[in-house]
This record gives sequence, structure tokens and C-alpha cells, in this order.
Amino acid sequence: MSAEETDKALVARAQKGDRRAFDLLVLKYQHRVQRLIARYVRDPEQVFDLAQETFIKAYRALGRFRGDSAFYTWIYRIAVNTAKNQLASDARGGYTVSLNSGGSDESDEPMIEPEALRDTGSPDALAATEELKSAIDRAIADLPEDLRTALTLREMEGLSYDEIAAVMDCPIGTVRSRIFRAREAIEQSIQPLKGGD
Amino acid sequence: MKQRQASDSATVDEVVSDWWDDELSGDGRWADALLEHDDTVREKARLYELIGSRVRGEAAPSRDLLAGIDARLEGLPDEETPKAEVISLDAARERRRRLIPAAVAASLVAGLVAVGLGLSVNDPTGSDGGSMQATAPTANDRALMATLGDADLPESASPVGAGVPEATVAQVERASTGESRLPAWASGSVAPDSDPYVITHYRAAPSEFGSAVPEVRAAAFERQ
Repeated sequence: MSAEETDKALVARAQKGDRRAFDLLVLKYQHRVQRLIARYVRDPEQVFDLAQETFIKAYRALGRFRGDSAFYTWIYRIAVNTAKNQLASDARGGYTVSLNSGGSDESDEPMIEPEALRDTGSPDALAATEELKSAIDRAIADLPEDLRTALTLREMEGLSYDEIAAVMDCPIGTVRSRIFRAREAIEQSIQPLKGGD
Repeated sequence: MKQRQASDSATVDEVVSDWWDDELSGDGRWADALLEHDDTVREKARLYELIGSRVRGEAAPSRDLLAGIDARLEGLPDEETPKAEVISLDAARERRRRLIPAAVAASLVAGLVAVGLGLSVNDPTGSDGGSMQATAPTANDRALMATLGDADLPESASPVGAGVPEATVAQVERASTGESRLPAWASGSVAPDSDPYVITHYRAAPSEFGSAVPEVRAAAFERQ
């Protein structure tokens, strides 16, 4: 699969010491990893710490990653093991364990509400974030229907471009373009809040 | 998929969008384009993450995970930073070069032990496999013979089981005088119920263990 090839190329560069390549992998998978860990742990602080620990472990083990599996499979496995180890060592039992916690596939329904990923910044930062969120919500609502549908099918349902093309009965290139244009439109609408030009 | 030029900022944005959705066509060559526009990729990735969170109705985390990871990686000692040994053919060859002699040696030892056991168990008359059989008593044979009191042993008795309880210091002294002769089983005439493990040990062990060690070993292997 081509996405895996790009990941593998980034991994190969990270193995040679290119930290920027590893950073891109963190950027791409950080939220997915946090969502996965949030199935095991409720405390948002601990979710954050365990996600960080997951990537640190991955970085230290990167030299032993042979590419037999996809990078995301490997990083998810590390995340699951890190979360389980934390639960096992938590003598107080103060964290909620998923009854379905055996799976490592992030497509499973989360047993813990996404509130585990709640914002924990300062009041000012939270206010700014709230304003940004509202602006994004408005921008999504204002999107032309075809763009909003394509974006929603991708982000909400996790469909591939191919599947979205089948659902929307259009070429895959059109799906690609619609999703990109939707994101661009949202970015344009929040530019003032970002203090950009 | 249409070809895209990484130098074109508009198409770089498209590449990032495709990459974010795991829909980047082609091989790993896009990694170079992504790294070349590192800052743009970071900015877009954060925005796309935020958009995705809103579409899914999740609260996007406001803390910067990447910054925390970077700070911790800065403090890592050099030996914990990734090494590209898995993609180094030279390193793989070197590892193989070191492993092969060890594997050959292990196989040789295992083979010798297996042959020794086979001779002891399967050839009570010693009619074949003679190359592995002692034709003259070794120091260990002599010590064992003395320990077990060969003269008192019935032909079919297990040498260790029958002889060891009576083993004494006096018998060890008797061995040192060389008065005894080699027991029949030790020269190749092994009774069917003899303990092959003990027999093999006595016959294979180097003589430099002397005459005292066999007694210790015989006691250790004694059957209850």
C-alpha cells in the first residue's frame, strides 16, 4: 500500500537519524494513538503521558523496526502494551479498564468517551481554543454539500477515497479534490483567528 | 493520480492532504517532498487534526504532544537514539559471520552427544559403531569400576543403582591402586537396563577430572 510506503520511507530516514522524519510520523499518528490509549485509561493527563511514552519507546526501538509490518501496526502495538503495562502497575486501580480492551485495532468502538481527551490548558488558551472550534464548526456547516459530504465520510466514517467515490458516485480524483478543497475552505475561514495574513 | 511537483506550494498542500488520509499514491518518494516542506506539513497536520476532531465531535487536545516528545528525545543518551543497523547490509553480514561458527560448534556438540547416546543404548554388544567405544579403560573407567565394586555386581544389574549405595572412600582408594578390572558394561557390553546417561558421561568425560569426580557424579545420578 502506498501510504505504508511513505511511512516506511520516513521510518528509514528516522533510522538514519533524521528527527524531522520521526516528527512527521508523530504528527500523523499522535491523535490516533491517544484515541487508542483512551480506551484503556480515562485520565486525560495519563492518556497524554502514555502517548508520549509510546512514541519515546518507538523512537528508541526504531533501529529494530524491520518494516515487516506497517508502521501504524507497530506503533499501535506499542501503545496497547504501554497502556496495559500502566494498568497492571497501577495498584490503586484508579483508571477505567475497557471490557473490550484486548483489541489493538483502532476501528473498535471506544469504551471510554472521547472526553478523556478533554483540553487541559489555561483558561485563555481554552477560550481561544473554544473560539477556534466554533469557527471550524461554522466553516464545516457552511461548506457546499458535496465538499462537506466527502469530508464527513472521510473523517467521521473513516472511508477510503475509493469507498467515498463509490458512495458519491464520482471519480476518485473528484473525491481527492473535494476533501482538499473542504480543508482549504475551512482554513481560509479561520485565518483571522489564527492571526494570519 | 496526476503527477505533482513538490516545489509547487499549492500541490504540496494537496500532497499533505493525501498523506494525512493515507491516500498518497506512488512509492516512498513523497517522503522527500514532505520533509522538504517540513514547516508546511506540520502546520497543515495540526489543522487537519483539529478539523477531524470537530467533524467527529471530539475535543482536540490543546497540549502539544510533539513538543513534549522532542524535549524528552533531546535528553536521550546517544546509545538510545535509533541506529540504522537493520538496513545496513554490512552489519547483517557481520552478524551472520559471527553466528555461523557458533552454530556449527553447537551442532557438532549436539551430534556427538546424540551419537554417544545411541551407541550406549542401541548397541549392547558393541558390534558396530566401534569407533566410539573404548578399547582400554580410561581413568574414569577405572574409577567407576572401583566405585561400583564390579566384582559384586550381577551381570544384569544397573551399575549405578546397585553399586553406589556401597560406594565408600575405601573403594576410591582401591581404584587408585589399580587392582580392579573394567566392568563388562563399561567396555561395551551394556546391560539392557543400564542407565545410558551415566554410561555416556563416564565414557565421554575427559580423564583430567581424575578419580574423585566420578564418585561425586555417580552419587548425583543415583536412582532412588
